Amino acid sequence: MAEYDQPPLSHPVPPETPRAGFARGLSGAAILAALALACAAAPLMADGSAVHRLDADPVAAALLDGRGSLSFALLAAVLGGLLGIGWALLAGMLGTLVGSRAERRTIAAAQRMAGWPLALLVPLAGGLTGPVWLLALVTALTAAPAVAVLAHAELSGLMRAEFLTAARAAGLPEGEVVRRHLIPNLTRPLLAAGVLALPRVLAAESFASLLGLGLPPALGSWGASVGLAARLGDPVAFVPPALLLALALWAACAIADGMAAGHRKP
Amino acid sequence: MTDASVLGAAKPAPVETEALTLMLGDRVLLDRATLRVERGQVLAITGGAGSGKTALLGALAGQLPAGVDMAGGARIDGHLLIAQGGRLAPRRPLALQVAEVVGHHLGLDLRSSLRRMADGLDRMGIPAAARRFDLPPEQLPESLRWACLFAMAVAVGPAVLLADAPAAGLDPTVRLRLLHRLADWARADGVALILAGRPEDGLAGPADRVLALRRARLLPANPARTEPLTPLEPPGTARLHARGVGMSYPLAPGPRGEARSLAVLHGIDLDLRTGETLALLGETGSAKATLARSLLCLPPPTAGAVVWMGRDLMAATAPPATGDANDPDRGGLRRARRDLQPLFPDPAASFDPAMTLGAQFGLVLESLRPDIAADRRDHRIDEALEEAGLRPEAALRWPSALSVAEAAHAGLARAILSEPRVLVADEPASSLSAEERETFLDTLMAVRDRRRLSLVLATERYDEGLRDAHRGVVMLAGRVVESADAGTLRTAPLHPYSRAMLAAAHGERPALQGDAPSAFAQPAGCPLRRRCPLAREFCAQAVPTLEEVAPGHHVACHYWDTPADG
Amino acid sequence: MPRPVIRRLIDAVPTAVLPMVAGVGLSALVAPQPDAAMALLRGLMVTLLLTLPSLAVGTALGTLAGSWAAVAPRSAGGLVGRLLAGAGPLLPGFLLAALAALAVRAGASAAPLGWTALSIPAACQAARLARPAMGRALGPGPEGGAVRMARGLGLDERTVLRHHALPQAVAPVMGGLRAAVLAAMVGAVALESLLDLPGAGALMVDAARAGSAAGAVPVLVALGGLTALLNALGLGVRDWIDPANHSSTPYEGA
Repeated sequence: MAEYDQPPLSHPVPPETPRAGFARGLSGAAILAALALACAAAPLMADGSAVHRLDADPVAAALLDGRGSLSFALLAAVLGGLLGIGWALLAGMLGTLVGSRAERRTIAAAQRMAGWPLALLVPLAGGLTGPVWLLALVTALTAAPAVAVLAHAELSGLMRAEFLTAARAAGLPEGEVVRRHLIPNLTRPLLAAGVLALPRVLAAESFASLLGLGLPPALGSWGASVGLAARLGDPVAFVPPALLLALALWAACAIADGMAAGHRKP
Repeated sequence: MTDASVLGAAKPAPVETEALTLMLGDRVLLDRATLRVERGQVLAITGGAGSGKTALLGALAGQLPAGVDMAGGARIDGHLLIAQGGRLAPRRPLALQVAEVVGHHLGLDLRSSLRRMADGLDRMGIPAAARRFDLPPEQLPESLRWACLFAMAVAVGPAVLLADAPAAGLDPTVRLRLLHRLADWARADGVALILAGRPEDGLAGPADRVLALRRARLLPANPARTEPLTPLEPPGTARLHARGVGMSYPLAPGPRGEARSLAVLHGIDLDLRTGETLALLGETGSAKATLARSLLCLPPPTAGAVVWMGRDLMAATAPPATGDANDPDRGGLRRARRDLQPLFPDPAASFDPAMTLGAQFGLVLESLRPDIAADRRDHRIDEALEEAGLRPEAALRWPSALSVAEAAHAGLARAILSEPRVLVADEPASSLSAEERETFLDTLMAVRDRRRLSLVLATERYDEGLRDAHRGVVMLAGRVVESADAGTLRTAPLHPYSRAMLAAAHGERPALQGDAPSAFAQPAGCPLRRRCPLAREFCAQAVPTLEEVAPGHHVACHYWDTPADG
Repeated sequence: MPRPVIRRLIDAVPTAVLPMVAGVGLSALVAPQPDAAMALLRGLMVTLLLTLPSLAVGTALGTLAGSWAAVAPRSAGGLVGRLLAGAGPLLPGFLLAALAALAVRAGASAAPLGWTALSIPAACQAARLARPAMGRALGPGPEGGAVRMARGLGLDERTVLRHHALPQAVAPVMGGLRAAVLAAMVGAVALESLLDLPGAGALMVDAARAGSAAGAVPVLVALGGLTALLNALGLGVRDWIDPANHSSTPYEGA
């Protein structure tokens, strides 16, 4: 066993792609956290006086808008992630209880929906319905099918893992196998699938707000400011929210990619 | 590094190296090797994973892998290199790729290239009916892809052919047939052929000369151990009985909604005695792994019965009747699990990546050995790890940090934790190579002898499986075709399939044609009849049944006693 | 038109054409304006004209640039590919549409800007998928086997890149076309609305602004059909360039 420490030459580990994804995810998380902090601290920049977005300078106004965009995106992402994961778990449960056919149909529905321009539903909902929670629900729905498809792929891959057979060979009852082996191994991939909802809902909300059909003006949103500036032809008001929005989208995508890269085995 | 052929050579050989040294970083892969391969000579270079075979062939072909430095001299005539894995562009029709290569080297047009290729396939013994040129490689069977690669080399006719792990991953009988054909071509056409591969791939058979790449030097190969590690003790009484074990998988319903299923295992009877080692021998599609899993009821077979010490395991694994769902030892299943432990073909995947080895071992002990107190478990785990050839500190490690060999030993440690009486091992060393493989098998046999375990060893390596076994069972397409004691099977098997496997294991030319048929397209009658040298018309009409030809020796063949030419 | 594309289009009739017909019919029945059906038909044509060329050009250029970034990272093309691959999520179509609207307000011409704004996200997406795949195809891992084999068989580097490495980079791009189509649809809706183009997306947004479900829902259904049509075209192109489908023609009886 003298050669253990030598990796076989003919099958080298791909050089640091997972680590690169992980590092990008970390930097994305750091950027998003910094953005959230800056947005939360933005009212302090207005000298303690009452804050009106239209009066403030463009950067401060963009930071103020970020509060609405980011908090709404967080809410909708949590909703969408939960919906998608629930969908995948439901499909998995149907597979064990009813039969693989029901499972396939449930997931095929999600796949078909993921191919549909669901993001267009968000401005529609913004225009036709009033309350913010309904908008959040619709936004969450636009991300849920993609999350469900990914989560289900992870779930069904894990259900076939050899170590579950090994656990059964050790005499563990099914409940224990699920509790001790399946759930600990499932949390990270499911979380990674759920995080996929974050860039999607952020983009969907910004898109709707850009058209003036998203969040109500009182909440403020990067998309709304960008849209307004574009309509007015005002580059000074355009640049700060557009940059912040692009940065937030990049960071959210990087987190999702990093999560997906991190839990996969090298 | 002395080589007899270096002296007294007048004409330059197609391959000559002079003190060739290869370095990967500061690690020496090859140390001042002087090598000479003549026209028509077949040289096999064997070595375990990571020993530097690929780098050596790359250096000869002028394609050094990234990060490898070369010193010394190497001279080679016009050559082709068949790279490891034998991959081609996966979606491009094979004929087009072949024609491209042949045309590139010989300046021929498409039709002439393909005609030359057809000649090459004739020399590889591929019947015209099997030639599906216009399919892309990913839709062709592996064996046909390798045959086409070899035929491509034949069509080009280089002075030197370098083949890295040729036909690796094919069944031994198919691989040896192709390699012998390739070696015949090289000798007939005066091509210097260098085959590189793992020692257990059987490259030595077709070669004129074998060199082993060990510790950065090219040395004469060590013969593998052929005798049992320790003399085998006679087995005791039968404890595990399998009766009529069958397995079938449901398929999608047919056109009229009727239920369909695919039977892969047909009514196997088996007895395993105390302290007995039984080798299940068979190649791809023989269902030896399915049988091994069925013996463990993981999952339980769909037909027949598995009885351990008088207890029907299939009844125990059936869904519980109402009321006793919380019984910890329902139907004695847990007791049986404690006595029957598996070894998995991919040991690294059989460990939960989210737990350390120690935690998983603790869970096994908690489940199977509630009689061991919680504070004694660590001690038991350390003992098992040491017995399996690992250090006790391995309990603190995560499965992803284990090397392949360590994972195999850890799998063995887990299997003996509960002090079982039977180990059911399904290709336990298939992920290992060369010395690691020998070390693992030696450890397994030492554990078996120390604990007087019964062992079921499913493997496609005929000789290696029978080496340490009392009895062997040769399987083909889900049926037993021959069963006898190991000595008989190693010296005088009667079934043509067993004979072919034996020949392949010795590096000789197996007398079988073509490939194993797919499970979905089994021929009527004897499943071997399209490949068999003894086949006659009657073979298509009835599946041969096992008959006793000598005490303890069963064969399922209509014409086992007929000579092949008769 | 190549046969695989036609086959895919015929397959897509129920998912693509039916929703579009249903949308047009629905708008003729329920929409408040009298000429809504004709406007929707015209709008669908405009949206198709906006998305299809930009998707095709963007994907093709992005794939080439991304692959080139793995072959020669320091060359000009490689730099473009790396830039596109890295900037992917920074540049969603609707944000570029807003930028285009800003430029149009400043006096630029609308059509080329619109196509550019929609093709950049497609190019980014393609480059992001093609670059690592090409890197793997040329790398030391198991995916690089085909390239190593082709080099070992003595083929020249141009053939190796074109026939053995590039297909491996194109495959994931073709698999990711669905996401690119969705992004292009969203971008097109934003573009039409901001630049006041007479597209279907603008119709939907106007109806939604007016709070008219009867005006907006038929357009949404029709846009779903248009997405399916673009997806079917993408699948057809994938089949068409797939080398496995160019098999039997060249070897008559060989």
